[in-house]
Amino acid sequence: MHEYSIAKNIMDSLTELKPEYQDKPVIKVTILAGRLHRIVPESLFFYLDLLKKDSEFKDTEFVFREKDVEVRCSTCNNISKLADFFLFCPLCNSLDVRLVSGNELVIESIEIEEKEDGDKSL
Amino acid sequence: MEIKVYKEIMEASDQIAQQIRDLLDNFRIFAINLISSPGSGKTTLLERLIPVLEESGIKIGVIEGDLATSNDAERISRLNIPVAQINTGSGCHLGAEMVHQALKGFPLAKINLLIIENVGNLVCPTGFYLGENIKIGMMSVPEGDDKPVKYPLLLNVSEAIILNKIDLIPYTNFNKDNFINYCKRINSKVKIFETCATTGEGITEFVDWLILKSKT
Repeated sequence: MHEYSIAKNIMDSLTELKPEYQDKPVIKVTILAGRLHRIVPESLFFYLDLLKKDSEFKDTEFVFREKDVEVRCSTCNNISKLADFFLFCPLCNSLDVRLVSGNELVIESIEIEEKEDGDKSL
Repeated sequence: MEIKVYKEIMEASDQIAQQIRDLLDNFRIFAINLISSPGSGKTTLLERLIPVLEESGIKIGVIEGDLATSNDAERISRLNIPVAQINTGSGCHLGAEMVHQALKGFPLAKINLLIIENVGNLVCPTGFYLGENIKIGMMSVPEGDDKPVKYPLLLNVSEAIILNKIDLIPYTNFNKDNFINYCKRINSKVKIFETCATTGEGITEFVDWLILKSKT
């Protein structure tokens, strides 16, 4: 259910970003989330649809990208991708690891409509 | 035209949490965010914990988060300490903006430890920073010894885990060694405390650690 709060924060972030791009229509938004956040995409899209329909982003397409959990081992210095949440080095079993990725939660990119003078195309 | 922005989605919420942190720092208040499932014994633990902490000269304030009712706040206010109730309605966790609002009018000058009892939920509250110094997770014996692996996010963010209702171990198939191993595999640095909030068992060890933690 935390997807609602995340969806709300995405909408607020977009509103905040708009002036930076001269309030041009936003065609597409890509959300990047590390797997540690355990976001259920269907739930996130449900809330995004709900929140966007009465907003200026009602025609915006949302894309969700997940990032794997990776750790760097302080013992053998290797970077490994983890299949679950046990934060350890699968190569040497050391527990002394640092998270390299998997905790991101960002709007990775936005696609805005570019209108040249006299050009009505997207 | 696609533009890379890498904008932190929780930025606005984290900014409010930072305002809370700054406010608490001004009053030299240490804050903990207590997270567990419903019915694990958070409020009972606080009822046991608060008198012991107050005896040690620590002045406590509590923010109670629940979907509905002020039952928990009423229980805590019987201990004659400042308490604020937040009802989240259908919200599954406390948000920084709710805590920020609840702290308006809170007698911060009279406390040096703020305990935020989050909404009973092992998932959602783990992802939201409320300006606390540390998160503490709580699990209880009847929930089963595999809870740490089923809800690893809580282990990832917690400095300590309280295992409550240990008096029930003889009546269940709960394997304490499994529980501890699961916790340590997810977070090798996590401190584990074993308590029975109804009898007070294990409370002193936790209080000693908490006092030390709040001073470092």
